[in-house]
Amino acid sequence: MEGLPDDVIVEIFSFLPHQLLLLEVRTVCRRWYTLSHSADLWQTVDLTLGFNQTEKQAMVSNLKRVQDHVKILKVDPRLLQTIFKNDIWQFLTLKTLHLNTLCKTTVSVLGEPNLRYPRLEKVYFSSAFDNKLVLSAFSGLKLDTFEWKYSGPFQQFRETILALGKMDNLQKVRLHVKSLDNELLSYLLKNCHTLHSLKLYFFNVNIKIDNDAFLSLTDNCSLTELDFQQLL
Amino acid sequence: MYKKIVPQIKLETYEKEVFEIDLDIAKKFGKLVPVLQELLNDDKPLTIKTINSGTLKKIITWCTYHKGRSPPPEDDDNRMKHSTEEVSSWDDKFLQEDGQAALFDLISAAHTLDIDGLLDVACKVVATMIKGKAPEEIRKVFNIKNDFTQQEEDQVRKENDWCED
Repeated sequence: MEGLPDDVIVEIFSFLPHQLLLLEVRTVCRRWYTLSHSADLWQTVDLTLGFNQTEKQAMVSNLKRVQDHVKILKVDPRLLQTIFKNDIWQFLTLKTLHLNTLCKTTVSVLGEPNLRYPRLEKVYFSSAFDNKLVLSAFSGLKLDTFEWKYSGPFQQFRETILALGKMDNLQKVRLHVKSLDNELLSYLLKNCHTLHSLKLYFFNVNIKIDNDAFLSLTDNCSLTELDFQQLL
Repeated sequence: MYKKIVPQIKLETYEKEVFEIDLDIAKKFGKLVPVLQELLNDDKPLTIKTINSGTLKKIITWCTYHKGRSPPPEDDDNRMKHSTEEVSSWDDKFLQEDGQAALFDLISAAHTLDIDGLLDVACKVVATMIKGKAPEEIRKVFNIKNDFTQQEEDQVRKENDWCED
């Protein structure tokens, strides 16, 4: 093992879960400590596996050493909350954020997006957020992709669309939809001038959009991809 | 009858043993391929002192077995999950049957010869050996010396034993 070059050790580490790199691997020896912080390992960080409270705290404090390398972060919202509770953190290179949870989370877990991850471009949620607040928190960012998968109640769907309409750099939107009518779709298409891909997933709902109105709506916008899918 | 001549390249190992390798097997040698092709008409073998004969034999076996099997296309979406679960049972047995030292020699050689597929699968096997072990066990299994000074070790431990809230 000791005869192997650094880049091979890093290659081996690349097959280990990030939790392990943040906790055990770095404590083995000096060389492993240094190599476990290599930029190559931290471009895409997945911290969604199970961990206990102590591990969570340790991971958060150790993650700080590599925060400048992270471009894609996949994280449990409760961990993100711990991250932003402890310190002034900035993920200056973060472009993509995946948040998955089954429990209801509030906007506080996001910290202050403008300050914490100002260069964020892509957001993938699959959780029960207070989406109106979430979207207003993101309003200062230049998001180009927004995906929100959620199978719970959709009280705020209208607010979601209205908030998305205020983002002027959106190119790709994926949403699970409860109800959609001419007015709402028209609002989204008229306000998001840069939108070129829209995918809407429906759960047994009725779509109140008539054909003519639909054609006139899509005629005048930048959309090149439009997809409606009925989910079972 | 026309007899097809299989182009071969010659590699000399640490033990000065010369191996003749079919070019279509050596095609797995990534960045080395152009170098090897130039040597095709040369009688003089290419000497690679860092690779021993046993290791080169293993490499030829691996490349022969995987001849025609191309690595799965890299999917950008799946880069997120670097999984160690895709090692085939043939590879797993092949890589581990000669013990750890041989495995590391093989990894080193795969790195030198730029055989991506072999390096990849061998690194996965080592990663699997690391998983699920405490740092002390890892040191023991891989014969790694804990070279932190007491002060450094306290510091690293402190970083990991973050106080609970």
